[in-house]
Amino acid sequence: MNKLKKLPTLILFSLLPAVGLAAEGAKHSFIPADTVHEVQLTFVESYGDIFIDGTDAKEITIIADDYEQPEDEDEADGFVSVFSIGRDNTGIGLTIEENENSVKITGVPNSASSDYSIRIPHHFSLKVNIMGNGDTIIQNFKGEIEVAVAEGDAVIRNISGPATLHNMNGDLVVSFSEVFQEAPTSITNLNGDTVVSIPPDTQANLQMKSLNSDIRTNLNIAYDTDKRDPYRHNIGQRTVTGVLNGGGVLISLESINGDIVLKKAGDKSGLAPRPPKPPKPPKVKRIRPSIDDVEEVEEVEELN
Amino acid sequence: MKCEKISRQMTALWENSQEPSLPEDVRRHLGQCESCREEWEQLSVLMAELDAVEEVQPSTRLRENFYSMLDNAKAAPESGSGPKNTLIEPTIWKFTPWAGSIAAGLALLLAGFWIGSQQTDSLVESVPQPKTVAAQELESLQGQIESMKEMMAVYMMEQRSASKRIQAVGYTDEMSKLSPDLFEALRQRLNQDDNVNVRLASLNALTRFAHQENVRAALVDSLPRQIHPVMQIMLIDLMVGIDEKRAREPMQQLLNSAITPLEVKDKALRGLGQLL
Repeated sequence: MNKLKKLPTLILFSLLPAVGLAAEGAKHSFIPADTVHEVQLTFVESYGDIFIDGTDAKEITIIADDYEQPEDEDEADGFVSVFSIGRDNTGIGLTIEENENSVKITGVPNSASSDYSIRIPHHFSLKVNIMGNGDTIIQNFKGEIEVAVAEGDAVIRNISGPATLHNMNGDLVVSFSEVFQEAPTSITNLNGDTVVSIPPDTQANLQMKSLNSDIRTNLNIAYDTDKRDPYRHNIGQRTVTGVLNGGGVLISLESINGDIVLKKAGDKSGLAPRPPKPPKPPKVKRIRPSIDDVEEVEEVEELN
Repeated sequence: MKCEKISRQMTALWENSQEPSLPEDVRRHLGQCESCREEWEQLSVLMAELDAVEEVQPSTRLRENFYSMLDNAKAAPESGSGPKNTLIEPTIWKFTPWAGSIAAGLALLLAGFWIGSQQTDSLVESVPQPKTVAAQELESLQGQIESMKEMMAVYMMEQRSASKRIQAVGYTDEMSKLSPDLFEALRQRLNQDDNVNVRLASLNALTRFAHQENVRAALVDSLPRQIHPVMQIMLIDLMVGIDEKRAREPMQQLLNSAITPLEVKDKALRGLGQLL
Protein backbone atom coordinates (compact mmCIF):
# COMPACT_ATOMS: atom_id res chain seq x y z
CA MET A 1 0.00 0.00 0.00
CA ASN A 2 1.13 3.47 -0.79
CA LYS A 3 2.42 4.95 2.42
CA LEU A 4 2.10 8.49 1.29
CA LYS A 5 -1.55 7.92 0.72
CA LYS A 6 -1.97 6.79 4.32
CA LEU A 7 -0.11 9.70 5.77
CA PRO A 8 -2.97 12.23 5.80
CA THR A 9 -5.18 9.69 7.53
CA LEU A 10 -2.57 9.11 10.22
CA ILE A 11 -2.19 12.82 10.82
CA LEU A 12 -5.95 13.12 11.08
CA PHE A 13 -6.00 10.29 13.67
CA SER A 14 -3.44 11.92 15.86
CA LEU A 15 -5.52 15.07 15.94
CA LEU A 16 -8.81 13.46 16.88
CA PRO A 17 -9.33 12.73 20.58
CA ALA A 18 -12.06 10.19 19.72
CA VAL A 19 -9.47 8.04 18.03
CA GLY A 20 -7.33 8.32 21.10
CA LEU A 21 -10.14 6.72 23.09
CA ALA A 22 -10.29 3.74 20.80
CA ALA A 23 -6.55 3.40 20.76
CA GLU A 24 -5.86 3.39 24.46
CA GLY A 25 -7.48 0.87 26.79
CA ALA A 26 -10.66 0.17 24.85
CA LYS A 27 -12.79 -2.00 27.11
CA HIS A 28 -15.40 -4.67 26.55
CA SER A 29 -17.19 -6.20 29.50
CA PHE A 30 -20.11 -8.59 29.97
CA ILE A 31 -21.57 -11.03 32.48
CA PRO A 32 -21.89 -14.54 31.06
CA ALA A 33 -24.93 -16.72 31.82
CA ASP A 34 -24.94 -18.78 35.01
CA THR A 35 -24.51 -22.00 33.03
CA VAL A 36 -21.22 -20.86 31.53
CA HIS A 37 -18.14 -22.34 33.17
CA GLU A 38 -15.56 -22.31 30.44
CA VAL A 39 -13.74 -19.77 28.31
CA GLN A 40 -12.12 -20.75 25.03
CA LEU A 41 -9.60 -18.22 23.86
CA THR A 42 -8.05 -18.46 20.42
CA PHE A 43 -5.58 -16.18 18.71
CA VAL A 44 -4.37 -17.51 15.40
CA GLU A 45 -2.49 -14.43 14.26
CA SER A 46 -1.56 -12.08 17.03
CA TYR A 47 1.50 -10.02 17.69
CA GLY A 48 0.61 -8.54 21.03
CA ASP A 49 0.92 -10.03 24.49
CA ILE A 50 -2.02 -11.71 26.18
CA PHE A 51 -2.62 -11.36 29.90
CA ILE A 52 -5.34 -13.49 31.46
CA ASP A 53 -6.23 -12.96 35.08
CA GLY A 54 -8.66 -14.93 37.24
CA THR A 55 -10.87 -12.77 39.43
CA ASP A 56 -13.72 -13.31 41.87
CA ALA A 57 -15.94 -10.94 39.90
CA LYS A 58 -18.80 -12.33 37.83
CA GLU A 59 -18.04 -10.53 34.62
CA ILE A 60 -15.55 -11.08 31.86
CA THR A 61 -13.63 -7.91 31.08
CA ILE A 62 -11.33 -7.41 28.13
CA ILE A 63 -9.07 -4.41 27.69
CA ALA A 64 -7.33 -3.88 24.39
CA ASP A 65 -4.31 -1.73 25.07
CA ASP A 66 -3.68 -0.20 21.70
CA TYR A 67 -6.18 -1.63 19.31
CA GLU A 68 -6.66 0.18 16.03
CA GLN A 69 -9.55 -0.78 13.83
CA PRO A 70 -8.12 -1.71 10.46
CA GLU A 71 -11.30 -0.61 8.68
CA ASP A 72 -10.57 2.98 9.61
CA GLU A 73 -7.30 2.93 7.74
CA ASP A 74 -8.67 1.08 4.80
CA GLU A 75 -11.80 3.09 4.33
CA ALA A 76 -9.57 5.84 2.99
CA ASP A 77 -8.98 3.83 -0.15
CA GLY A 78 -12.33 2.00 -0.10
CA PHE A 79 -10.87 -1.36 0.89
CA VAL A 80 -11.78 -3.43 3.94
CA SER A 81 -10.33 -6.68 5.18
CA VAL A 82 -12.58 -9.52 4.04
CA PHE A 83 -11.49 -11.65 6.95
CA SER A 84 -12.72 -9.10 9.42
CA ILE A 85 -16.19 -8.53 7.99
CA GLY A 86 -18.80 -9.53 10.51
CA ARG A 87 -16.19 -11.02 12.79
CA ASP A 88 -15.39 -8.20 15.11
CA ASN A 89 -18.45 -7.94 17.34
CA THR A 90 -16.68 -6.11 20.14
CA GLY A 91 -15.03 -3.19 18.38
CA ILE A 92 -11.65 -4.27 19.74
CA GLY A 93 -10.66 -6.92 17.22
CA LEU A 94 -12.34 -9.87 18.90
CA THR A 95 -15.25 -12.15 18.17
CA ILE A 96 -17.16 -13.20 21.25
CA GLU A 97 -19.69 -16.02 21.06
CA GLU A 98 -21.56 -17.30 24.06
CA ASN A 99 -22.94 -20.83 24.10
CA GLU A 100 -24.82 -22.59 26.83
CA ASN A 101 -21.72 -23.67 28.73
CA SER A 102 -18.86 -21.72 27.27
CA VAL A 103 -17.72 -18.39 25.95
CA LYS A 104 -15.53 -18.32 22.87
CA ILE A 105 -13.22 -15.36 22.45
CA THR A 106 -11.39 -15.31 19.14
CA GLY A 107 -8.95 -12.80 17.73
CA VAL A 108 -10.08 -11.42 14.40
CA PRO A 109 -7.65 -12.47 11.67
CA ASN A 110 -5.15 -9.95 10.32
CA SER A 111 -5.89 -7.34 12.90
CA ALA A 112 -4.91 -8.45 16.34
CA SER A 113 -1.77 -6.44 16.90
CA SER A 114 -2.93 -5.15 20.25
CA ASP A 115 -2.03 -6.40 23.71
CA TYR A 116 -5.06 -7.77 25.48
CA SER A 117 -5.72 -8.17 29.15
CA ILE A 118 -8.65 -10.35 29.96
CA ARG A 119 -10.26 -10.87 33.35
CA ILE A 120 -12.23 -14.06 33.82
CA PRO A 121 -13.97 -15.55 36.90
CA HIS A 122 -11.29 -17.71 38.51
CA HIS A 123 -13.41 -20.87 38.85
CA PHE A 124 -13.91 -21.09 35.08
CA SER A 125 -11.97 -23.62 33.10
CA LEU A 126 -9.77 -22.24 30.34
CA LYS A 127 -8.85 -23.49 26.89
CA VAL A 128 -6.25 -21.16 25.43
CA ASN A 129 -4.73 -21.53 21.99
CA ILE A 130 -2.25 -18.88 20.86
CA MET A 131 -0.43 -19.25 17.58
CA GLY A 132 0.93 -15.71 17.45
CA ASN A 133 4.24 -14.19 18.43
CA GLY A 134 3.32 -12.44 21.64
CA ASP A 135 3.91 -13.65 25.17
CA THR A 136 1.20 -15.02 27.38
CA ILE A 137 0.63 -14.67 31.09
CA ILE A 138 -2.14 -16.60 32.80
CA GLN A 139 -2.63 -16.35 36.54
CA ASN A 140 -4.90 -16.98 39.51
CA PHE A 141 -7.17 -19.80 38.31
CA LYS A 142 -8.75 -22.57 40.34
CA GLY A 143 -10.18 -24.70 37.52
CA GLU A 144 -8.83 -26.78 34.69
CA ILE A 145 -6.43 -25.06 32.32
CA GLU A 146 -5.54 -26.15 28.80
CA VAL A 147 -2.97 -23.99 27.06
CA ALA A 148 -1.21 -24.43 23.73
CA VAL A 149 1.22 -21.72 22.64
CA ALA A 150 3.22 -21.80 19.43
CA GLU A 151 5.84 -19.05 19.52
CA GLY A 152 5.97 -16.74 22.50
CA ASP A 153 6.90 -17.43 26.09
CA ALA A 154 4.18 -18.38 28.50
CA VAL A 155 4.00 -17.82 32.24
CA ILE A 156 1.22 -19.62 34.04
CA ARG A 157 1.17 -18.98 37.77
CA ASN A 158 -0.91 -19.42 40.88
CA ILE A 159 -2.99 -22.24 39.46
CA SER A 160 -4.07 -25.52 41.00
CA GLY A 161 -4.80 -27.47 37.85
CA PRO A 162 -5.40 -29.88 36.38
CA ALA A 163 -3.25 -28.33 33.69
CA THR A 164 -2.58 -29.55 30.17
CA LEU A 165 0.06 -27.19 28.82
CA HIS A 166 2.14 -27.05 25.67
CA ASN A 167 4.57 -24.61 24.15
CA MET A 168 6.26 -25.23 20.83
CA ASN A 169 9.04 -22.66 20.61
CA GLY A 170 8.81 -20.53 23.71
CA ASP A 171 9.64 -21.06 27.34
CA LEU A 172 6.98 -22.33 29.68
CA VAL A 173 7.11 -21.21 33.31
CA VAL A 174 4.43 -22.74 35.47
CA SER A 175 3.89 -22.38 39.18
CA PHE A 176 1.24 -24.23 41.12
CA SER A 177 -0.25 -22.98 44.37
CA GLU A 178 -1.33 -26.58 44.91
CA VAL A 179 -1.66 -29.58 42.62
CA PHE A 180 -5.19 -30.84 41.98
CA GLN A 181 -5.24 -34.52 42.86
CA GLU A 182 -8.21 -35.88 40.92
CA ALA A 183 -6.94 -35.53 37.37
CA PRO A 184 -3.45 -35.53 35.89
CA THR A 185 -1.30 -32.59 34.87
CA SER A 186 0.69 -32.77 31.66
CA ILE A 187 3.25 -30.26 30.38
CA THR A 188 5.08 -30.57 27.07
CA ASN A 189 7.53 -28.44 25.15
CA LEU A 190 9.41 -28.73 21.89
CA ASN A 191 12.19 -26.11 21.82
CA GLY A 192 11.65 -23.91 24.84
CA ASP A 193 12.70 -24.47 28.42
CA THR A 194 10.15 -25.60 30.96
CA VAL A 195 10.26 -24.55 34.60
CA VAL A 196 7.60 -25.99 36.89
CA SER A 197 7.27 -25.06 40.56
CA ILE A 198 5.12 -27.10 42.90
CA PRO A 199 4.70 -26.96 46.69
CA PRO A 200 7.36 -29.27 48.22
CA ASP A 201 4.73 -31.34 50.06
CA THR A 202 2.86 -32.19 46.83
CA GLN A 203 2.01 -35.87 46.51
CA ALA A 204 2.55 -36.99 42.95
CA ASN A 205 3.72 -39.66 40.58
CA LEU A 206 6.21 -38.10 38.22
CA GLN A 207 6.96 -39.02 34.68
CA MET A 208 9.68 -36.94 33.04
CA LYS A 209 11.21 -37.29 29.63
CA SER A 210 13.60 -35.20 27.62
CA LEU A 211 14.94 -36.37 24.30
CA ASN A 212 17.85 -34.01 23.79
CA SER A 213 18.20 -31.96 26.90
CA ASP A 214 18.49 -32.06 30.66
CA ILE A 215 16.03 -32.51 33.51
CA ARG A 216 16.92 -30.98 36.86
CA THR A 217 15.12 -30.83 40.17
CA ASN A 218 15.58 -29.83 43.79
CA LEU A 219 12.67 -31.94 44.99
CA ASN A 220 13.16 -35.10 46.97
CA ILE A 221 11.96 -37.67 44.44
CA ALA A 222 12.04 -41.43 45.01
CA TYR A 223 13.09 -42.66 41.60
CA ASP A 224 11.76 -45.78 40.01
CA THR A 225 14.78 -47.58 38.73
CA ASP A 226 13.26 -50.85 37.55
CA LYS A 227 10.38 -49.39 35.57
CA ARG A 228 12.39 -48.16 32.65
CA ASP A 229 10.95 -48.30 29.24
CA PRO A 230 12.30 -51.50 27.69
CA TYR A 231 12.48 -49.99 24.22
CA ARG A 232 14.09 -46.71 25.02
CA HIS A 233 17.04 -46.82 27.36
CA ASN A 234 19.26 -48.57 24.84
CA ILE A 235 19.31 -45.53 22.60
CA GLY A 236 20.26 -43.13 25.33
CA GLN A 237 16.95 -41.47 25.85
CA ARG A 238 16.22 -40.16 29.27
CA THR A 239 12.90 -41.23 30.68
CA VAL A 240 12.55 -41.00 34.44
CA THR A 241 9.69 -41.97 36.68
CA GLY A 242 9.47 -41.35 40.37
CA VAL A 243 7.29 -40.74 43.38
CA LEU A 244 7.01 -37.57 45.41
CA ASN A 245 5.85 -37.68 49.04
CA GLY A 246 4.42 -41.18 48.77
CA GLY A 247 2.75 -40.68 45.42
CA GLY A 248 -0.43 -39.09 44.15
CA VAL A 249 -1.71 -37.63 40.95
CA LEU A 250 0.28 -38.06 37.75
CA ILE A 251 2.43 -35.12 36.66
CA SER A 252 4.09 -35.69 33.33
CA LEU A 253 6.73 -33.37 31.89
CA GLU A 254 8.05 -34.00 28.41
CA SER A 255 10.40 -32.00 26.27
CA ILE A 256 12.38 -32.53 23.12
CA ASN A 257 15.03 -29.81 22.88
CA GLY A 258 14.44 -27.65 25.93
CA ASP A 259 15.52 -28.17 29.52
CA ILE A 260 13.06 -29.19 32.18
CA VAL A 261 13.38 -27.84 35.71
CA LEU A 262 11.04 -29.11 38.40
CA LYS A 263 11.47 -27.17 41.61
CA LYS A 264 10.03 -26.31 44.98
CA ALA A 265 7.65 -23.40 44.80
CA GLY A 266 9.16 -20.22 46.21
CA ASP A 267 12.67 -21.70 46.33
CA LYS A 268 15.17 -19.66 44.38
CA SER A 269 18.26 -21.52 45.54
CA GLY A 270 19.77 -24.80 44.44
CA LEU A 271 19.73 -24.02 40.77
CA ALA A 272 23.25 -23.13 39.81
CA PRO A 273 23.70 -21.42 36.48
CA ARG A 274 24.49 -23.88 33.77
CA PRO A 275 27.31 -23.66 31.30
CA PRO A 276 26.24 -21.95 28.09
CA LYS A 277 24.51 -24.12 25.54
CA PRO A 278 25.11 -24.02 21.81
CA PRO A 279 22.73 -21.51 20.28
CA LYS A 280 19.22 -22.69 19.43
CA PRO A 281 17.84 -22.45 15.92
CA PRO A 282 16.96 -18.80 15.32
CA LYS A 283 13.53 -17.80 16.55
CA VAL A 284 11.34 -15.10 15.22
CA LYS A 285 12.55 -11.85 16.71
CA ARG A 286 10.08 -10.55 19.23
CA ILE A 287 9.68 -7.87 21.76
CA ARG A 288 8.20 -8.72 25.10
CA PRO A 289 7.72 -5.65 27.17
CA SER A 290 5.46 -6.92 29.91
CA ILE A 291 7.00 -10.29 30.57
CA ASP A 292 10.33 -8.92 31.75
CA ASP A 293 8.97 -8.16 35.19
CA VAL A 294 8.36 -11.85 35.77
CA GLU A 295 11.37 -13.07 37.66
CA GLU A 296 11.03 -16.72 36.70
CA VAL A 297 11.61 -15.91 33.08
CA GLU A 298 14.84 -14.17 33.95
CA GLU A 299 15.84 -17.25 35.78
CA VAL A 300 15.29 -19.39 32.71
CA GLU A 301 17.44 -17.03 30.74
CA GLU A 302 20.17 -17.31 33.33
CA LEU A 303 20.13 -21.04 32.84
CA ASN A 304 20.79 -20.84 29.16
CA MET B 1 -37.31 -96.14 48.09
CA LYS B 2 -34.48 -94.59 46.08
CA CYS B 3 -32.22 -91.98 47.69
CA GLU B 4 -32.67 -89.60 44.76
CA LYS B 5 -36.38 -89.48 45.22
CA ILE B 6 -36.01 -88.92 48.94
CA SER B 7 -33.59 -86.09 48.32
CA ARG B 8 -36.05 -84.33 46.03
CA GLN B 9 -38.78 -84.85 48.57
CA MET B 10 -36.69 -83.33 51.33
CA THR B 11 -35.99 -80.17 49.36
CA ALA B 12 -39.64 -79.87 48.49
CA LEU B 13 -40.56 -80.24 52.13
CA TRP B 14 -38.35 -77.37 53.12
CA GLU B 15 -39.61 -75.21 50.34
CA ASN B 16 -43.19 -75.65 51.44
CA SER B 17 -42.96 -75.13 55.14
CA GLN B 18 -40.84 -73.56 57.82
CA GLU B 19 -40.64 -76.61 60.10
CA PRO B 20 -41.49 -79.64 58.02
CA SER B 21 -42.48 -82.85 59.64
CA LEU B 22 -41.18 -85.89 57.80
CA PRO B 23 -43.64 -88.34 56.33
CA GLU B 24 -43.40 -91.89 57.66
CA ASP B 25 -41.72 -93.39 54.57
CA VAL B 26 -38.99 -90.76 54.51
CA ARG B 27 -38.34 -91.14 58.21
CA ARG B 28 -37.96 -94.85 57.74
CA HIS B 29 -35.51 -94.38 54.88
CA LEU B 30 -33.42 -91.98 56.90
CA GLY B 31 -33.16 -94.53 59.64
CA GLN B 32 -31.64 -96.95 57.18
CA CYS B 33 -29.60 -94.73 54.85
CA GLU B 34 -26.68 -92.83 56.36
CA SER B 35 -25.98 -90.57 53.38
CA CYS B 36 -29.56 -89.37 53.20
CA ARG B 37 -29.59 -88.74 56.91
CA GLU B 38 -26.49 -86.62 56.59
CA GLU B 39 -28.00 -84.71 53.73
CA TRP B 40 -31.12 -84.06 55.73
CA GLU B 41 -29.09 -82.74 58.63
CA GLN B 42 -27.06 -80.44 56.40
CA LEU B 43 -30.18 -79.20 54.74
CA SER B 44 -31.76 -78.47 58.11
CA VAL B 45 -28.70 -76.53 59.25
CA LEU B 46 -28.59 -74.57 56.00
CA MET B 47 -32.28 -73.76 56.14
CA ALA B 48 -31.99 -72.67 59.75
CA GLU B 49 -29.14 -70.36 58.79
CA LEU B 50 -31.03 -68.91 55.90
CA ASP B 51 -34.03 -68.32 58.15
CA ALA B 52 -31.78 -66.61 60.64
CA VAL B 53 -30.82 -64.02 58.04
CA GLU B 54 -33.10 -61.13 58.69
CA GLU B 55 -35.10 -60.06 55.74
CA VAL B 56 -34.31 -56.45 55.00
CA GLN B 57 -37.36 -54.33 54.52
CA PRO B 58 -36.70 -51.52 52.05
CA SER B 59 -37.56 -48.25 53.68
CA THR B 60 -40.29 -46.22 52.10
CA ARG B 61 -37.72 -43.55 51.26
CA LEU B 62 -35.87 -45.93 48.98
CA ARG B 63 -38.58 -45.70 46.39
CA GLU B 64 -38.77 -41.93 46.67
CA ASN B 65 -35.00 -41.56 46.45
CA PHE B 66 -34.84 -43.83 43.45
CA TYR B 67 -37.42 -41.84 41.55
CA SER B 68 -35.86 -38.52 42.46
CA MET B 69 -32.51 -39.85 41.27
CA LEU B 70 -34.12 -40.98 38.06
CA ASP B 71 -35.69 -37.58 37.55
CA ASN B 72 -32.39 -35.85 38.18
CA ALA B 73 -30.67 -38.12 35.71
CA LYS B 74 -33.33 -37.37 33.10
CA ALA B 75 -33.11 -33.66 33.74
CA ALA B 76 -29.29 -33.61 33.61
CA PRO B 77 -27.78 -32.23 30.42
CA GLU B 78 -26.26 -34.53 27.83
CA SER B 79 -22.59 -35.28 28.23
CA GLY B 80 -21.72 -33.06 25.28
CA SER B 81 -22.74 -29.88 27.02
CA GLY B 82 -20.88 -30.88 30.16
CA PRO B 83 -22.06 -30.36 33.73
CA LYS B 84 -21.01 -27.34 35.70
CA ASN B 85 -17.79 -27.33 37.65
CA THR B 86 -17.16 -30.98 36.97
CA LEU B 87 -13.48 -30.65 37.60
CA ILE B 88 -13.85 -29.46 41.12
CA GLU B 89 -15.89 -32.53 41.95
CA PRO B 90 -13.77 -35.57 42.52
CA THR B 91 -16.21 -38.12 41.14
CA ILE B 92 -15.67 -39.33 37.61
CA TRP B 93 -19.16 -40.75 37.34
CA LYS B 94 -20.76 -37.43 36.61
CA PHE B 95 -18.83 -36.98 33.44
CA THR B 96 -20.66 -39.27 31.15
CA PRO B 97 -23.90 -41.20 31.55
CA TRP B 98 -21.93 -44.20 30.29
CA ALA B 99 -19.45 -44.08 33.12
CA GLY B 100 -22.38 -44.21 35.53
CA SER B 101 -23.87 -47.30 33.96
CA ILE B 102 -20.53 -49.01 33.81
CA ALA B 103 -19.92 -48.20 37.45
CA ALA B 104 -23.35 -49.62 38.29
CA GLY B 105 -22.43 -52.73 36.32
CA LEU B 106 -19.19 -53.06 38.26
CA ALA B 107 -21.03 -52.64 41.54
CA LEU B 108 -23.57 -55.32 40.58
CA LEU B 109 -20.79 -57.64 39.55
CA LEU B 110 -19.00 -57.16 42.85
CA ALA B 111 -22.23 -57.58 44.80
CA GLY B 112 -22.93 -60.80 42.90
CA PHE B 113 -19.46 -62.01 43.65
CA TRP B 114 -19.86 -61.25 47.35
CA ILE B 115 -23.19 -63.06 47.61
CA GLY B 116 -21.74 -65.93 45.66
CA SER B 117 -18.80 -66.22 48.01
CA GLN B 118 -21.09 -66.11 51.06
CA GLN B 119 -23.16 -68.97 49.70
CA THR B 120 -20.12 -70.94 48.77
CA ASP B 121 -18.95 -70.61 52.35
CA SER B 122 -22.12 -72.01 53.87
CA LEU B 123 -22.38 -74.83 51.39
CA VAL B 124 -18.72 -75.54 51.51
CA GLU B 125 -19.12 -79.09 52.81
CA SER B 126 -21.63 -80.24 50.27
CA VAL B 127 -19.96 -78.84 47.17
CA PRO B 128 -17.32 -81.08 45.68
CA GLN B 129 -13.91 -79.37 45.43
CA PRO B 130 -15.29 -75.97 46.42
CA LYS B 131 -11.96 -74.17 46.31
CA THR B 132 -11.31 -74.94 42.69
CA VAL B 133 -14.73 -73.67 41.75
CA ALA B 134 -14.25 -70.54 43.81
CA ALA B 135 -10.83 -69.94 42.28
CA GLN B 136 -12.26 -70.35 38.80
CA GLU B 137 -15.09 -67.99 39.59
CA LEU B 138 -12.66 -65.50 41.02
CA GLU B 139 -10.54 -65.69 37.91
CA SER B 140 -13.43 -65.18 35.55
CA LEU B 141 -14.74 -62.35 37.71
CA GLN B 142 -11.34 -60.68 37.68
CA GLY B 143 -11.40 -61.00 33.92
CA GLN B 144 -14.84 -59.41 33.83
CA ILE B 145 -13.72 -56.57 36.09
CA GLU B 146 -10.76 -55.93 33.81
CA SER B 147 -13.01 -55.76 30.78
CA MET B 148 -15.33 -53.41 32.69
CA LYS B 149 -12.33 -51.20 33.41
CA GLU B 150 -11.44 -51.30 29.74
CA MET B 151 -14.93 -50.22 28.76
CA MET B 152 -14.75 -47.42 31.26
CA ALA B 153 -11.38 -46.27 29.89
CA VAL B 154 -12.73 -46.38 26.32
CA TYR B 155 -15.74 -44.25 27.19
CA MET B 156 -13.78 -41.85 29.36
CA MET B 157 -11.44 -41.15 26.46
CA GLU B 158 -14.29 -39.21 24.85
CA GLN B 159 -14.48 -36.63 27.62
CA ARG B 160 -14.27 -32.93 27.02
CA SER B 161 -11.46 -32.30 29.48
CA ALA B 162 -7.99 -33.03 28.09
CA SER B 163 -6.75 -33.90 31.56
CA LYS B 164 -9.53 -36.48 31.97
CA ARG B 165 -8.71 -37.96 28.59
CA ILE B 166 -5.09 -38.32 29.66
CA GLN B 167 -6.33 -39.97 32.84
CA ALA B 168 -8.41 -42.45 30.82
CA VAL B 169 -5.43 -43.20 28.58
CA GLY B 170 -3.38 -43.78 31.75
CA TYR B 171 -5.77 -46.50 32.95
CA THR B 172 -4.19 -48.78 30.36
CA ASP B 173 -1.04 -48.81 32.52
CA GLU B 174 -2.83 -51.25 34.82
CA MET B 175 -3.91 -53.55 32.04
CA SER B 176 -2.05 -56.66 31.18
CA LYS B 177 -3.58 -57.01 27.73
CA LEU B 178 -4.70 -54.62 25.06
CA SER B 179 -8.23 -55.54 23.99
CA PRO B 180 -9.32 -54.66 20.43
CA ASP B 181 -11.67 -51.93 21.73
CA LEU B 182 -9.01 -50.34 23.86
CA PHE B 183 -6.48 -50.54 21.06
CA GLU B 184 -8.89 -48.80 18.71
CA ALA B 185 -9.65 -46.11 21.28
CA LEU B 186 -5.96 -45.41 21.92
CA ARG B 187 -5.27 -45.31 18.21
CA GLN B 188 -8.03 -42.78 17.74
CA ARG B 189 -6.59 -40.60 20.53
CA LEU B 190 -3.12 -40.92 18.99
CA ASN B 191 -4.23 -39.85 15.53
CA GLN B 192 -7.19 -37.58 16.09
CA ASP B 193 -7.20 -35.94 19.48
CA ASP B 194 -6.97 -32.18 19.12
CA ASN B 195 -4.68 -31.84 22.13
CA VAL B 196 -1.03 -32.71 21.57
CA ASN B 197 -0.51 -33.78 25.20
CA VAL B 198 -3.30 -36.34 24.87
CA ARG B 199 -1.80 -37.64 21.63
CA LEU B 200 1.57 -37.96 23.34
CA ALA B 201 0.06 -39.78 26.33
CA SER B 202 -1.61 -42.23 23.91
CA LEU B 203 1.72 -42.80 22.19
CA ASN B 204 3.32 -43.59 25.54
CA ALA B 205 0.47 -45.97 26.42
CA LEU B 206 0.79 -47.81 23.10
CA THR B 207 4.58 -48.04 23.51
CA ARG B 208 4.01 -50.58 26.29
CA PHE B 209 2.44 -52.89 23.72
CA ALA B 210 4.94 -52.22 20.94
CA HIS B 211 5.86 -55.91 20.89
CA GLN B 212 2.46 -56.62 19.28
CA GLU B 213 2.37 -56.62 15.52
CA ASN B 214 -0.94 -54.74 15.28
CA VAL B 215 0.40 -51.98 17.52
CA ARG B 216 3.61 -51.64 15.50
CA ALA B 217 1.63 -51.43 12.27
CA ALA B 218 -0.62 -48.77 13.78
CA LEU B 219 2.39 -46.72 14.92
CA VAL B 220 3.98 -46.87 11.47
CA ASP B 221 0.65 -45.87 9.98
CA SER B 222 0.36 -42.98 12.43
CA LEU B 223 3.59 -41.21 11.46
CA PRO B 224 2.35 -39.65 8.20
CA ARG B 225 -0.87 -38.60 9.98
CA GLN B 226 0.89 -36.54 12.63
CA ILE B 227 1.30 -32.87 11.88
CA HIS B 228 2.72 -31.65 15.17
CA PRO B 229 6.54 -31.72 15.32
CA VAL B 230 6.51 -33.06 18.91
CA MET B 231 4.52 -36.09 17.78
CA GLN B 232 6.63 -36.58 14.66
CA ILE B 233 9.87 -36.51 16.64
CA MET B 234 8.62 -38.76 19.46
CA LEU B 235 7.23 -41.27 16.95
CA ILE B 236 10.47 -41.38 14.95
CA ASP B 237 12.36 -41.83 18.19
CA LEU B 238 10.15 -44.79 19.09
CA MET B 239 10.45 -46.32 15.61
CA VAL B 240 14.23 -46.27 15.97
CA GLY B 241 13.95 -47.62 19.52
CA ILE B 242 11.89 -50.65 18.42
CA ASP B 243 13.89 -51.02 15.19
CA GLU B 244 10.81 -50.74 13.00
CA LYS B 245 12.14 -50.54 9.46
CA ARG B 246 8.72 -50.02 7.87
CA ALA B 247 8.90 -46.48 9.26
CA ARG B 248 11.71 -45.64 6.83
CA GLU B 249 9.27 -44.72 4.10
CA PRO B 250 7.19 -42.17 6.06
CA MET B 251 10.44 -40.82 7.53
CA GLN B 252 11.85 -40.33 4.06
CA GLN B 253 8.65 -38.53 3.08
CA LEU B 254 8.98 -36.19 6.05
CA LEU B 255 12.56 -35.49 5.04
CA ASN B 256 11.54 -34.68 1.48
CA SER B 257 8.56 -32.51 2.33
CA ALA B 258 9.06 -28.76 2.17
CA ILE B 259 6.75 -28.05 5.09
CA THR B 260 8.45 -30.36 7.59
CA PRO B 261 10.01 -28.34 10.42
CA LEU B 262 13.81 -28.36 10.68
CA GLU B 263 13.91 -30.26 13.98
CA VAL B 264 11.82 -33.05 12.51
CA LYS B 265 13.97 -33.31 9.37
CA ASP B 266 17.04 -33.55 11.56
CA LYS B 267 15.46 -36.33 13.63
CA ALA B 268 14.26 -38.17 10.51
CA LEU B 269 17.69 -37.95 8.91
CA ARG B 270 19.41 -39.37 11.97
CA GLY B 271 16.66 -41.97 12.35
CA LEU B 272 17.12 -43.17 8.79
CA GLY B 273 20.81 -43.61 9.54
CA GLN B 274 19.97 -45.72 12.60
CA LEU B 275 17.26 -47.84 10.94
CA LEU B 276 19.46 -49.63 8.45
